Amino acid sequence: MTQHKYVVAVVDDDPRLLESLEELLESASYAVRSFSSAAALIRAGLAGLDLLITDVGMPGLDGFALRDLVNRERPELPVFLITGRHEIAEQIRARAVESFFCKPFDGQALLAAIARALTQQGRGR
Amino acid sequence: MIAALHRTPPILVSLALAVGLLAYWLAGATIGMLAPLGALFFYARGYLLQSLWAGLFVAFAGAAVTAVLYPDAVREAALSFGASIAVAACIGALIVRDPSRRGARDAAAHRQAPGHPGGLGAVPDDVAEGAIHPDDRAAIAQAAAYAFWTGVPQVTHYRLRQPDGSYRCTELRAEPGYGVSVDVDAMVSRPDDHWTVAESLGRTAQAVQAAKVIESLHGKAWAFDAAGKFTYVTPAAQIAIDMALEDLNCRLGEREFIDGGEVGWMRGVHPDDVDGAAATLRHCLKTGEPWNIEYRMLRATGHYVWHRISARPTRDGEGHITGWFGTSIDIDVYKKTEAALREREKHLEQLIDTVPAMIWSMSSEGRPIYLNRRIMEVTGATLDTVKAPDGALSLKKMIHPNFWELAEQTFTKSVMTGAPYNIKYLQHRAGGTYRWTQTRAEPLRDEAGKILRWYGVSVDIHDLITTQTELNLRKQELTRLIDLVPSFLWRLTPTGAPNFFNRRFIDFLGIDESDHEQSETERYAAALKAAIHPDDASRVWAEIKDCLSTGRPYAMRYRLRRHDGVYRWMDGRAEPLLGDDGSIIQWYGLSHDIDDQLRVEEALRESERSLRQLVETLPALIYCATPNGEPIYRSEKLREFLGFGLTDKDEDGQTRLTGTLDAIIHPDDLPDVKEKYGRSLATGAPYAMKHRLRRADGEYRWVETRTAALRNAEGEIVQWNGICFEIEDQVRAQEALTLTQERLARAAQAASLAELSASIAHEVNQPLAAVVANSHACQRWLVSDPPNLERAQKVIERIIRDANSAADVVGRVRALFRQTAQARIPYRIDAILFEARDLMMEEAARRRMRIEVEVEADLPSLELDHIQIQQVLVNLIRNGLEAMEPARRGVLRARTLRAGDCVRTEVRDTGMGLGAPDKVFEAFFSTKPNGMGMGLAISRTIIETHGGRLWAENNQDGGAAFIFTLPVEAKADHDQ
Repeated sequence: MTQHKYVVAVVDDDPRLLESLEELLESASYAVRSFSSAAALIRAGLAGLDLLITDVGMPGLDGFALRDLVNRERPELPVFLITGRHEIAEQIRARAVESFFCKPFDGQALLAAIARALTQQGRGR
Repeated sequence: MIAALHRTPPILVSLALAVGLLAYWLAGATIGMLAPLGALFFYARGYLLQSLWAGLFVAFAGAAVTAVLYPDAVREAALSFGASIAVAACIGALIVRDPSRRGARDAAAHRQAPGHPGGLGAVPDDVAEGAIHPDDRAAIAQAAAYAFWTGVPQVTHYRLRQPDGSYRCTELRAEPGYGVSVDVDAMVSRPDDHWTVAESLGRTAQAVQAAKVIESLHGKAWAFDAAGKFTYVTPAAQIAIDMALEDLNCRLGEREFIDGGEVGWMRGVHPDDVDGAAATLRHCLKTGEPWNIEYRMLRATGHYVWHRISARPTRDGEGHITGWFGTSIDIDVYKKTEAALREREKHLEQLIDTVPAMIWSMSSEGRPIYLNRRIMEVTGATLDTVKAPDGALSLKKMIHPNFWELAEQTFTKSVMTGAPYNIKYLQHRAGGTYRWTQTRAEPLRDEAGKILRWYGVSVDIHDLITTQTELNLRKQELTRLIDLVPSFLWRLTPTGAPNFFNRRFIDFLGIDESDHEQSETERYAAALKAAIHPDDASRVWAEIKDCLSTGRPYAMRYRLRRHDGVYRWMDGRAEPLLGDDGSIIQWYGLSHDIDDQLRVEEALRESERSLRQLVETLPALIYCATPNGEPIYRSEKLREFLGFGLTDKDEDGQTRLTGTLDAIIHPDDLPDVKEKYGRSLATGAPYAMKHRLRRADGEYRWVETRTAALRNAEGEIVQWNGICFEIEDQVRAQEALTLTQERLARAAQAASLAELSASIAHEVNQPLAAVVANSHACQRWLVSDPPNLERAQKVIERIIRDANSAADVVGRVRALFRQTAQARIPYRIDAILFEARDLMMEEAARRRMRIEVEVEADLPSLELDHIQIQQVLVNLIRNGLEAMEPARRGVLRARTLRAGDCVRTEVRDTGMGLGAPDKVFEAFFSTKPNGMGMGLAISRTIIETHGGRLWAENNQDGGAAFIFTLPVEAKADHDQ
């Protein structure tokens, strides 16, 4: 586990947020691949990814659509959604979805959730 | 046989006597004598009859005396004899003919007896002259002689001796077959008057002798001496004038008659005639010339009677006048007849002159002889003007020149052949005009057939001719009319046989008139029978039959086949012409081609039906009213709605309108409705009103009623047509809508605030989220072993940068709403547009895009918030640039221009365009990866707070356009 770095893909149309998430994940020793849009991610391919974090509100393919697409492609790949729209977040949270975060999100909580998700995934492997 | 026996009385009597004697001898009874006695009574006349009666009486008396004087058998025989005689007398009384009755019968027979030219023949044949009373014989003979000689019928009374020897007065009428009859005075009034003879005849013996000769010839004769003194007058004459010789000769003055004195006979002469008579007689007495004179003589009856007197002298051997004898003949009848004839001729002449006909005559050679007064008056012609110099007929002055030749020919032909003359020509009139005249003439012929005279009559037939001409013209005109009238005229006999079709009808049916095999009626009947449409035939014939029998007028519609085989609808009508007695003389009928009309009517009916259906099925309540508002029609739906018909609300004392309005309009709306409807009716203006209307179930429903006047060509109101929509649902919906709109307005307000806040939150959240994540990362780099200060340092720089970015957002939001409370100031929007372009120029250049700005000159300044509008423009320009991003090139065109009351600003890009131009204003669309990202929602809010409008649309040639308008007169926004 120490040898192997988990690869986390981040998709957001705001470059500032991409930068900050990349910084946070790298500080937690994850390998990060940043994409400014869903289309860019799909072009790059899902191979080698261990987890996906995507913004919801984006031009073109939005976060939900990307998640559904990835779920079909790689059902085991954990997908985390982040959004600046609180009204959406509230609706989703009401359904007790863990993999959903509202901007601005707690970095420690995000890292903990990622770690949990990767652990579960690893167990499931 | 009995009749034969009646004609032979002796045989009958002998036979009866023989039978009677045989019976007497055989039976021994006197009754057998009755037969011969009856026979005797039957034939006995006069003295024989009287003797018979006397014999019977003597026999009866003898029998009676014998019966009284002698007893027993002798008495019985006498009684039986007497009874037989009594019975015989009775039979005799029954058998003997009543002499008075016989006389009457004879008189009647005599009156009827036609006269014979033979004069005396006038006297009944079976009356022997001897049966006439001796005193009357002279008068009878005279009358008969008069009748014979004068040809004048004579009526004379005489006494006829009856078989019993008595005389009865009888009248004789002697008629020579002459047309004129006159009354005659009886010559002898008193047969018993005495007459005398001169005691001494003196020298007049010879004259008297002559007179007696005349007397013996049944004349009235007389003789007088040379001085005029009567010596003899026949008894009949004396009696007739009731003068004896003494009376005649009686000297009445000093002088003798011959000397001019007056004598008795002159008293018997009519005063007018007496002087002439006396003077001529004196002259004759002196000269010896024969005296011939006619004068009126006074009869004993008191009447003057015309006589012709002739006297001749008798002379002795020396030639001296010894006396005079003369005769007077009653010429009264002649005189009176002559007068009567003259009167009659005059009357005829008057008749001919006054009869309204122009009468003329001419000789057998054609020479005019007579023109009646009328023809002369009317034509102005006289005998002279119609005669040529040689006396022949000349019509040159009588008739119109055009007819001279014709008249000449006709006339000549008639005169030559004796054929009746008949011609019509224009005859001259006294006034100078010519008039149509018909002249006819026929010849009068003698027994041998020779023409004696031509008698002619001319009749003015001008009026007749002109009337006939007129009639002919009118008949032609009528015929033309009948043939040209665009209808079919026909006539039927009372039994229904067609006997007349007008030209058009014949042509319509195509009847062949050259077919002379059939009669006209048969042809017509056959054509008609063939032409009636088979489906109509039975109906038509039944109707005609019924009409013919009842005489009621006929009216029907049916189809008739035209000659070309096309059936046409006809409207047939007929009425009978009735005679004075009410019987039908003819049927006169007319058939009118109504085919086109029917089609039009059918189309009209169809159209009307369709319109009515339209009106009835329209989901609206429809009604019509008279110009004064009285309802006259309600559609089915309206009747259903109201639950009553047109007339149900008619009550006494109020109009239908008032009754209806009171019943159906909600009481709260009624005054308004009445007032507005009344005003419309008065002014003709359309009426529109929303009110509540009472439905049949009693519920009031909101309706909108609209009524407009239908006007004729003159602009007068013909009727009002109204429509009434039920708008209950609409009203309810409107109420709901109003509520919704109010809620919506509040919701919209809330939504835009939420949207705004969400946008702001998003704008702030982005840098904040980055700051938070970077902070955690920084913390981790610092606590890691060894701490990665380099990265921590880098992250901290980013944290500062993003935190400032968040602060900028807050600052800009503050700036966005900072001015709302401030007064807006006039600003030129083109200036703001240029500012926005300048702000975005760098970004456009970076994206390799151009921004073109087009500004209309002289745009007005607007009251607006400069910063806010600038933000909107920057936002729209950025949106446009972003939309063109995939192409990495292009031109963004922005322009501003005046549009009515507004200034319009457009920002057009050449990007992909918008899938849903309206959705772009929703919250999610406002999210942009870079820049302010304030969102179109905020832009729209800003524009709307300025009283303007912001919308998006796609350009025709691709790309999207964002357009907003701002009012020139800035309205207060709804926030204030």
